[in-house]
Amino acid sequence: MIEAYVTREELRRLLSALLVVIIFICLVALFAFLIIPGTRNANAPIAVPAVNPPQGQTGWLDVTEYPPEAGYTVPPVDPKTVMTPTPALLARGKVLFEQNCVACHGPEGHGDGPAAKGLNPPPRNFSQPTGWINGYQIEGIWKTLQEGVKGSAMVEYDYLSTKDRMALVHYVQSLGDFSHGPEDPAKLAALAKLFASAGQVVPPKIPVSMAMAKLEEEYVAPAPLWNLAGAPALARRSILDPARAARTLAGLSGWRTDERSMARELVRGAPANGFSPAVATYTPEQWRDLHSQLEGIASP
Amino acid sequence: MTQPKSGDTFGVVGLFESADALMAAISKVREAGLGKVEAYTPYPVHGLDKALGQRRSPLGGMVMIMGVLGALTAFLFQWWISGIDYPIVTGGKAPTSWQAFVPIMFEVTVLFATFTAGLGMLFFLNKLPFFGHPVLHAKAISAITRDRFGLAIEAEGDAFDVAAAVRALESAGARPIEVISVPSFSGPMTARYLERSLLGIAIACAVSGYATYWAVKLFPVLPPTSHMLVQPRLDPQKPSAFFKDGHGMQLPVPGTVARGYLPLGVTSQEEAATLVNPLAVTQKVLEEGRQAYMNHCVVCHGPLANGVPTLTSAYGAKPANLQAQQFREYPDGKIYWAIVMGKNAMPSYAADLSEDDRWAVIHYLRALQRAQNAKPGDLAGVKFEAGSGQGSEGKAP
Amino acid sequence: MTGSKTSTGQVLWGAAALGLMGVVAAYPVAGPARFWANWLLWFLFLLTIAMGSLFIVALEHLVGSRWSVPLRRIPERLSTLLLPAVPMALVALGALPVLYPGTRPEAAHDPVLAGKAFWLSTPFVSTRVVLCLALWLVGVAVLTGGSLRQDRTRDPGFNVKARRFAPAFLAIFALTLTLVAFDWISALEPKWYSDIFGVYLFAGTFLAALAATAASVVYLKDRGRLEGVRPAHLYNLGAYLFAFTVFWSYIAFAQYLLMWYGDMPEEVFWYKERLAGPWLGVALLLGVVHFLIPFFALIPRDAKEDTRRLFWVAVLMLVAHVLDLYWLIFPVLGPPRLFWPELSFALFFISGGLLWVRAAMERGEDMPAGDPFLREGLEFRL
Repeated sequence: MIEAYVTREELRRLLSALLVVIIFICLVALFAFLIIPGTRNANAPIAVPAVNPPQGQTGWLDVTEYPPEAGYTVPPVDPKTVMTPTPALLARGKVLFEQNCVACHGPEGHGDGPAAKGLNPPPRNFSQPTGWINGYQIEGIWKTLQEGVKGSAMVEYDYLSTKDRMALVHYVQSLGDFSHGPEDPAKLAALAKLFASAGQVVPPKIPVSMAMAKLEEEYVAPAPLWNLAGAPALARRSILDPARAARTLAGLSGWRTDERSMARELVRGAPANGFSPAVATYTPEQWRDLHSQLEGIASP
Repeated sequence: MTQPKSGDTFGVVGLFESADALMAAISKVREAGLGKVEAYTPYPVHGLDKALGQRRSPLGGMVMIMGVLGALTAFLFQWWISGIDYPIVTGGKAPTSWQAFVPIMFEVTVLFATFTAGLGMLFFLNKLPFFGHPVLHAKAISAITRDRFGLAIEAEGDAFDVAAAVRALESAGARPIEVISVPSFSGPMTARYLERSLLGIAIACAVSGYATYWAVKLFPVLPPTSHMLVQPRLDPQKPSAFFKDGHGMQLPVPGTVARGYLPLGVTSQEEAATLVNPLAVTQKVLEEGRQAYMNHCVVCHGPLANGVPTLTSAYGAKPANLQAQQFREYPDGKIYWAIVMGKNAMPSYAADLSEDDRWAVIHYLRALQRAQNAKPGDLAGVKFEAGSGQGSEGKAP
Repeated sequence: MTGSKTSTGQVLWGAAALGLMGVVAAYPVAGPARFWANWLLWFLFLLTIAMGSLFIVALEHLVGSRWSVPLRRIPERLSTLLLPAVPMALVALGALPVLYPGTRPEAAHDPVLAGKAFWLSTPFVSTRVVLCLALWLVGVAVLTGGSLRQDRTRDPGFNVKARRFAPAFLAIFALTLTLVAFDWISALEPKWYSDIFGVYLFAGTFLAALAATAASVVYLKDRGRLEGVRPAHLYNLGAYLFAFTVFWSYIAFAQYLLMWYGDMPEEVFWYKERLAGPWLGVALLLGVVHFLIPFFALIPRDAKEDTRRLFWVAVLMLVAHVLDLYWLIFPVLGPPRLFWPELSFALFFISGGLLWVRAAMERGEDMPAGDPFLREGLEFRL
């Protein structure tokens, strides 16, 4: 059938031309997709994890518009399954470590992650037994995950489940090649009791637009300043935006009794808080006057 | 294929008045079997190829194969780039969204198909470059390119006989009839002429290229055009004769503050904790906060503020999960401080967010936190869709 | 010959009667919503074929094309389907309160629909429908009626008149067909926005009319009529069919791509309905029968002159048009339904339509004998 169109010789020429084109496309693809990007990423430190597109659950649209979800309680964890490292726990810990900790503590836990450079105090080096704020025993690392370390960049990881946090504890211990004992049996028992006592409560979820509506609904607007026009000149001069000033005063607890702290707070927040930046130059006498005048016009 | 020698008889051509007359004559002339029968017409006449007994054109098949190859190439290239090599989420679509590939696939299909049709026809089927076809040297060509239809019996093999060919065309009704001999290829359009022209063009390109290169190299002070970037403007870090100390950059006038650059009244995050959010919680403020959050915060903290970013996590830092207990209990002022001063790897957003935007973002953040940590009463009156929401117990926490 | 003809007619009459029983039974048994959806589908199917045929005729007069003169009588005859479409349209007005949310009293409380309340209200829709019908009947009377009269009078003045009338009619056609798309189909989901939807329906309309014309031409030619119609004419018809298959796909995909990419709630929900669950299967089938099969079947040059292939592709295009309308209309009822009500409607309207077309094919001569350009059209060569 094909002889009706081309001779054998022509077919050979055609096919070789096609071969040249296909080889050319493959070469272009090879260079463009493998070789050139390969040189670009030759020294990339962290493997790129797969991307999960933030698609909404109800549609293709808005991620924040997921359907409401009822809260529930995760059943209590059996302490026996989490108090000693198992291969499954360590594997889970490795995954979590790479997601949450590597950025600061580094892939090997040496405290040398890419985000560690600007941190003071620096992130803990898990391979050394020195410097652990809460100790390197199980309950110490647990405490750090639970509460964070005050005054450092270490935040709480209480949003991870109990089991996940224990997986992290064991994985962090496995990064240090030194003895992590001895454990305090009393503290361990307390921890085990904590795990067995109550499950973790997962709160309900509502879409963000609904949360916005709820917040607006629950918001109690403070009563406006009354008779500002009739107030003394100092108060009128000090207040740029009466609505904001009313909200600021409503938010400042105890300004009525403590004139000095009121002065400090008003100066700090001006002018966004509705007061003139000029309040920074007021004398103690002026503050005393202003305090009494504000007490007069602010609603109790 | 041997080139015919100059002076040999190429063939005999006769002219017809209309396409119909030509078509009628072809079958008669072909029956005579004197040589290769070929037609020359001023425009494409449908059915001519069949009448001349030419084989069916392979061009359609070539175009088809290359078109399919083009579609496949475009699809695989895009699939590799968008889905595997550098997956970026655009407009909330999955990286391998076939819908977005279709227009490119269409274009590349057309590109491959048209190039194959054009180039395949010219170079493969018409066997270009072929200069000086003998018919172009015949007297008949001026009529053929206007309104006459030429039919030629061309010398091929030993059976060809000039007198018999003339008779055959005459009896088929052709007027006038002309015997064509192979011309000497001395006209301008010879292969050698073209080679010389190409060589000349190449030399001209090389000379002008080098001349331009050296001219720019040797006389760099001559700007070809005056660009907009040449302005009587004071660039940062540049000297200026206007000021006494010769510096272009000056300290602010003592006792003044530039508009929009009021210094922060607090000196630490602990101090900032008591700052009061001066904005009311209204739909308008929350919308403004959402807008600012989506413009500046979402790339790292994620659309739900849970530290799952919309940019790839190859980013280096671990953005904070603002849904954590710690941040839910943060006073507004502490968040304000983090926005203005930055925190750990997070830079300051003071230059990007206005005073009001910062406070609005904080209100919106509260809405995000409430959405993920709602109160049990918030679900009152909510109808659950079948298969969603209520089945949460089954999920692994 | 006559015997077989009568028997075909008898079979069609029988099928129509059988279908009619199902149609009548469908209203009380299957419920009014399903009845009206079916009615709408077949009304629009016959209407679009008639309208498309009228468009082909008017287009030929407008541009003065010669090759299609010998074939013109076929779309002229098909355009008479508009006559049964008039009572069908008036009956279809009964669907307004059942299928169309814009006519219900709740619509007044919906912020989106309240703004369109007047446009979607029953009196205004009915006025528009009646007005459109009147305009189309004028078109049929002038173009088809005039051409049939020319068979007797042999008056070339008709060509001049038709050429003057054609541009005005095409302007009216563009407006009224868009109204058909918006009033009858788009208004089923009045919160949906698509500016290109009129063009989408036009692509399907024109394609359906071309397919009906091609199928009729091959059918008549097989029975020895339409003498003088050459393969070149068929080639042109086939090329037309091929080109507008691609045009329909282009428009359909353009609408989908833009809405998919734009992701606007007021646009996307329509596709989410039509691409979810079993409807996804219908949509994929639509892509196969409305684009892939005809595209590859008509691509070779010889295929466009091959009467067998042309006929079956044309029939397939008509089926695809029904499927297209089904995919547009039926998702408002929920998941796809195909059972005895749908089948009886199909039986009744297909056999009824064929009976009408059979009768119409005997009207006037097979070619516009009075047209001065007929000879030129018969001499047409590619």
